[in-house]
Amino acid sequence: MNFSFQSKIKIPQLLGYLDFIPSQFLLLILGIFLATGMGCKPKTKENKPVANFDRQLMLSQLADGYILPYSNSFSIASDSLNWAAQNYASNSSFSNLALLQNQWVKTYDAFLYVYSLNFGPGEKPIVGTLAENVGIWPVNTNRIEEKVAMSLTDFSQDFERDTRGLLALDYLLFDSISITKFTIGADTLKRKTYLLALTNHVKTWANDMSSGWIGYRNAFVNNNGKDAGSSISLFYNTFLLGYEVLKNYKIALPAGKRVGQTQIEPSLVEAYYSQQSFHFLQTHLTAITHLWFNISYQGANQSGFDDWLSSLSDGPPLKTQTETQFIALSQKVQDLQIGLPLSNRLQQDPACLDNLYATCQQTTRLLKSDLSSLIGIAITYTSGDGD
Amino acid sequence: MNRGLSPLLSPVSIGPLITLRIITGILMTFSTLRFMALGWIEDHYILPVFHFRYPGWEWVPLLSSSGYYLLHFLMLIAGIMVILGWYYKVAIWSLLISFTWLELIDVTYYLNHYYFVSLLLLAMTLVPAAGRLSMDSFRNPKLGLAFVPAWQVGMFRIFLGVVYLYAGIAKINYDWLFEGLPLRIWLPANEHWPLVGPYLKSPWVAIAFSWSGMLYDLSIPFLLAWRKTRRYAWIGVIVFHLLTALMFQIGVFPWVMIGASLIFFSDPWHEQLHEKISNWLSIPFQEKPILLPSFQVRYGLILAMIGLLFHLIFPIRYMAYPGSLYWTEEGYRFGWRVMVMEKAGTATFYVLDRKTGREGVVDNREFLNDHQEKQMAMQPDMILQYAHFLGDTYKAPGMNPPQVRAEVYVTLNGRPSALFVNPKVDLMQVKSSDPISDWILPSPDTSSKNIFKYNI
Repeated sequence: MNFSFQSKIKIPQLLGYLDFIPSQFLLLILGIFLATGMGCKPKTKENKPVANFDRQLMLSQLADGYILPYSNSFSIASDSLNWAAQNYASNSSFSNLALLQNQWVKTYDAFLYVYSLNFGPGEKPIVGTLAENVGIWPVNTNRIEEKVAMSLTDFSQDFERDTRGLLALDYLLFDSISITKFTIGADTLKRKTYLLALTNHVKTWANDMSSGWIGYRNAFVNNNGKDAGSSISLFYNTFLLGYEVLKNYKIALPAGKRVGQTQIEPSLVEAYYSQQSFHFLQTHLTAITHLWFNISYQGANQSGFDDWLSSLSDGPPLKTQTETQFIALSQKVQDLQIGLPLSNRLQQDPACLDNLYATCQQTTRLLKSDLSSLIGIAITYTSGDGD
Repeated sequence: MNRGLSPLLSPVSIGPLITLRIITGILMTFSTLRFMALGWIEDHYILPVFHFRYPGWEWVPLLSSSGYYLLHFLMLIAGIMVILGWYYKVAIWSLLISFTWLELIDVTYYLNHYYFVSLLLLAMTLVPAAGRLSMDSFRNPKLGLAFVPAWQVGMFRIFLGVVYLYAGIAKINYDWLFEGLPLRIWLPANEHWPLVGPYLKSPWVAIAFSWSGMLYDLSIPFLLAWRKTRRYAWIGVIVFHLLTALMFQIGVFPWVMIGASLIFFSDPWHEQLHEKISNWLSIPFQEKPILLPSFQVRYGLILAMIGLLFHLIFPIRYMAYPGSLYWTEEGYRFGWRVMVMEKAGTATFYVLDRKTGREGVVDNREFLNDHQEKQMAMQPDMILQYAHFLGDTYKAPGMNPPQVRAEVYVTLNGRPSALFVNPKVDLMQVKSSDPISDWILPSPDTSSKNIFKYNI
């Protein structure tokens, strides 16, 4: 549009009163501000020259060094789990059960490394996220038995997530009564069918995750802004969710710390039947730590949040603080790990998780508001603008 | 006619009001469509189980999901009617009420420019902005107008000018001017930009941007008002707001400000624009130089005066509160403090069951969406509302409400986070009218760096 500011139409200029403000006055005001601007040289001595942080490098290393190999390892583990289940279904010997149980632990470990990646291929429309579909507990054992009896194995037909996933397998494969039902009773065949449906469901998720990331990788690396919807923001938000699940569900829930709970609830530990809670707590914490530092599958220290903080003039104190907290958390989980499984330990010593929980609580704000504020990530996804 | 008022009542061209009406209608229609397309009706209004209400406005009814959709459709239709100038009075009131109703549902989504739009629409109910290029004036030539009293145009200029001035004053603080904060945190988001990208990391660039922003806000109303500087000022408006549009996720805000600034343009400029539009659309330019009845004009003028007085005073009500404005946020909202701080919090709530004496921790995700949790965790009035909601939710039948404590850490402009709420206080015993110092801890940074009382 071509705006002409000089008018040829003769209309009385009646609202000129704003134009009458003397120009000298305006120039004076401007002059004052400019003078103060030049005069007061900011004394920002503490602003060290900032190193450059390459977000795209962090994303590509995260994708190539962590996400792709760990998704692949989860995929391979779940294939093996499916084989082991088929093997056990055709020959339900104790040694085959032991093989299957062993493979289940390996698969769950592999799953925990990708547990926090619930975006992109880790999320399916309507169906939900990887964590919601593969990692829900406590499972509804009564409903599982019902579904076994009724041969309800088409998991696309309902949203009963507490009847499937790796923790439904925890019940099926480790509960002593459940195990006997594979070989004794009327429903052995149906039970094996349900077992295979479960391992197949996990395998499908894992394979989709792994193959999905091969296609998604470039889009992930190139979406290198910091706004809501950028890869960093997506990753950061789900990383945070992964951490909060550790704190609120794996620790606070069995410790009876949530509102409405009146006492410890040892049966609500993760992997109650296999009694692997401590081991998985350690794995989950390691995965969270590795994601923060961006430590690769091969163990290489890649460009992560620690490096990002180092590149900021105000970042190093938070980096040090967070590192200290991670070390403290890891130490506390290790200390707990000696001796009894978590559910038994809780019964003996109901306060055994308190110290770990308190440390988790101290760490939350460092990962949540302090980090996101300093590196300027939009924490909210999908919703809303700012001004 | 009162002599003192005569400059305000003297007739001026209706042109600026017509342009304002059309642009407002277009922006409202566009932003409503955008809001719907992004699925925000669902995210903002329907999915949350709890809404943070504005104090004093709790009576504004919450709606069913179809109610929220209906209100958005009403807003859409009203927006189009405003563009067309079709039943203007009905349209502008419908737009004002539907938009403001939606804003008053939940404090979480408060934005300065939403408040700006509500005030703008309110002011537009006072003026006959459909006197030209409108269905109303085609249907009924008697509704055509060439002139309006000067205050009807002047009020929008002052309204916009005051917004800019307050936005500029808010930027006169130590962090903004001398630390380049929070821009120093925000600018590097765009470091991948070609050419300029690498420079955005430099603290000096942040400080330069901070000063430019402050100077821009404080001078632009005058530079727009003055004929000789107007055209350069408007280029400044375009550059400034387009830059902010590219740099930050701030939705329609830049477009609202660019559009609204046209109100400063001269009458002949608007006249020419309208002639072009009418030629282009081949519609007649048929209004007669009729003035509005004087009683209507004076009645409106009194309302406008009251409105402008409110507009001047309300943003500085923070002066009546003790404590640091950016920390406590008492009197922070509705004050045109646009993007002047980076604040974030982490809030954990503990509910004590009086029967068992056991204290449980709340998972905020059970009740709040991410947006709500983020806003709540740093704003005292929202923390208190949420605490009371939790107390009511976990109240056992026939029992006293439980004790609710909060452990909240807040970080301001990237500083290490500090304890925000006194973790010993039972928030169920705190009323929103109580002094904030009863339960909010003082700002950790009370150094002499502060230029003004309201600073960090």
